[in-house]
Amino acid sequence: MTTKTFAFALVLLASLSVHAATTNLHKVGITTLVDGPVRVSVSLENGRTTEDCPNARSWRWGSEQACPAQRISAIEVGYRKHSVFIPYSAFADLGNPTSLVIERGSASNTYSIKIVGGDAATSYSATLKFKAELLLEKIVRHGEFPESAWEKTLYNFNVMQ
Amino acid sequence: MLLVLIPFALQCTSAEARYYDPVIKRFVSEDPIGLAAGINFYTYVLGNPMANTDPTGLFCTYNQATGLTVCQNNTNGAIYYTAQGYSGTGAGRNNSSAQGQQSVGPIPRGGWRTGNPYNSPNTGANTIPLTPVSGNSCPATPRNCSSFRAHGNNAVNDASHGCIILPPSRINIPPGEIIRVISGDD
Repeated sequence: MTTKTFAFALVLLASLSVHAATTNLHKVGITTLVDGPVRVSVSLENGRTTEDCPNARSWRWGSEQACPAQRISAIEVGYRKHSVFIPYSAFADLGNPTSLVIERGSASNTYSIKIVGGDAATSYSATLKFKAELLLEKIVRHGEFPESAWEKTLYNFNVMQ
Repeated sequence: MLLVLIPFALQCTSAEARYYDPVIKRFVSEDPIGLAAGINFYTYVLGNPMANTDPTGLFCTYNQATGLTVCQNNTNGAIYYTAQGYSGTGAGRNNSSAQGQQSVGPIPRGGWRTGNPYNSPNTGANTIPLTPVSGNSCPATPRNCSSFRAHGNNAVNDASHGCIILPPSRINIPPGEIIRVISGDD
């Protein structure tokens, strides 16, 4: 393989990896997505029935007045060789997720994980923003009323040596 | 004339505005809503009277292609509610062929029973829950069939990822009514 062909193959692989940074989240179990230095694993489990779900009336995203059929039980994010701390509250109320996207930011070491879920009146889009191994922000917007129904959480962590 | 009507009355059940014959399992008078109820005026509860009930004997009809909603008064046969609505977003808006696309296409075809209006933190005041009745096409699609509602519009006139968008007067549709969603070809 010539140097030129090898370089072309690398560019092709790089472009493919960008397009591959999205996947469906319909199946219970672990789904892993990798985009460059970012590695995300999402674990899905079946939700409790409404009768067995004490927070059915207060469930926020992906379901309304009922518990979701599926919920996220864990998200693990790796950035290069670092494990990123993700609080449970950052994903615990994202019900019935349907797709996962990794978006690389324009600024150095920045990236986002986007989780889309629900359907019709329960549709939503959640974005977790990161810089290197730190979670910075969580934004969730309702699908049908993105300007009226949303939440935004800012995170700060003690990184002193 | 009276001799003819008495046995008829003994065998048939009134559904407010029309008569249903349990032997032939069909209405013997037309649904006064006429064409809006579909091509067969004599169909009762979407052809499945064992699983579905329609205490008013009438349907609302929502057309996937036009967004037109028509409901009929159950005592005098008059149309009590009409509204121009829509369902779906982008290429899926009012596009009956997109009904299987999650968060894009319109509400799937079939019967949907209205529930009690409530104030939703997401879709606003007087949101009407819609529950699929037997025979609804939704379970055969990837859609989340418990997520459909009828609710109001937003400022950019793009408030549906599958819900039926209707003006505030939708509150006139009573709980328990069946909204029959039909394609533009029905």
